[in-house]
Amino acid sequence: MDLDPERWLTEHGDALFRFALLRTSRRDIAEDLVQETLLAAWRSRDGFRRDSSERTWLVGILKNKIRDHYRDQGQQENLATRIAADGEQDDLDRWFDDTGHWRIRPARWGSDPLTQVELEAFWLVLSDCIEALPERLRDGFIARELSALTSREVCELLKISDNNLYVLLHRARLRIRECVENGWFKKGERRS
Amino acid sequence: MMGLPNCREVSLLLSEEQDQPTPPRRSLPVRIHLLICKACRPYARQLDWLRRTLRRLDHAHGPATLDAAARDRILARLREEPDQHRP
Repeated sequence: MDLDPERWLTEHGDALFRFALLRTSRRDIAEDLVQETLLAAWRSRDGFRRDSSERTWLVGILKNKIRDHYRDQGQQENLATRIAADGEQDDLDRWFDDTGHWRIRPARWGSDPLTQVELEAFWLVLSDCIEALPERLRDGFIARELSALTSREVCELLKISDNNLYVLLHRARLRIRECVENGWFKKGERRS
Repeated sequence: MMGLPNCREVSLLLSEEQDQPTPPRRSLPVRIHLLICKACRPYARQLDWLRRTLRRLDHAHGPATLDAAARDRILARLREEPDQHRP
């Protein structure tokens, strides 16, 4: 398939946008970053390796654009990110006791799908939860769950082994699960 | 000695099942654990619920999607770029 930035926009635009939106919290900035990414990709199209997927390649470029964006602004993303980056080590003891049991049991959520209106409100809760993740967990989680990269593609993007990825996503999901339970299901924003 | 996995191990295996196909020798002990464990059953359902809900964001003309105006703007900018041999 020919490289074509208009097709990239159609096929990968939303995946790139979600990634940028969750890293910047601003729609306008995220839109600009998508545009810059597609332009940069087009200009450096000779560097695209056919053994990589287009989406992985594009998200990789976007990641660099996001880093440049924060560097140009002369700021770290935020304090929480820096603290979280320090706490990158295994945090599973937070969830499980010495015997391997849950410290706090997951609650029952109900299994009804959200209505379209609820989905909009849920997104606000979820994006806060995702933004609160340590940086690598966040990148991995967004790439896998919102930009819909395959596991192999996320490994390539983050340059980690598949076993490392499984643990990383597991840790992200434990945090997201707890955050969604507290921010959505226990707050009763969900009418059931 | 083949012991059944505990909740800590099962939660990792459940998460892994979201990311790769798992052979029966890995998934069977998980299913047995879920039959007897009231703490992990909700967790398994929650992972599925989250996955389904997140996938719906792909299709919604909602908050996590490029809107038409932004799409047009980006498209217009891409078309200004030289070397794009369009008909």
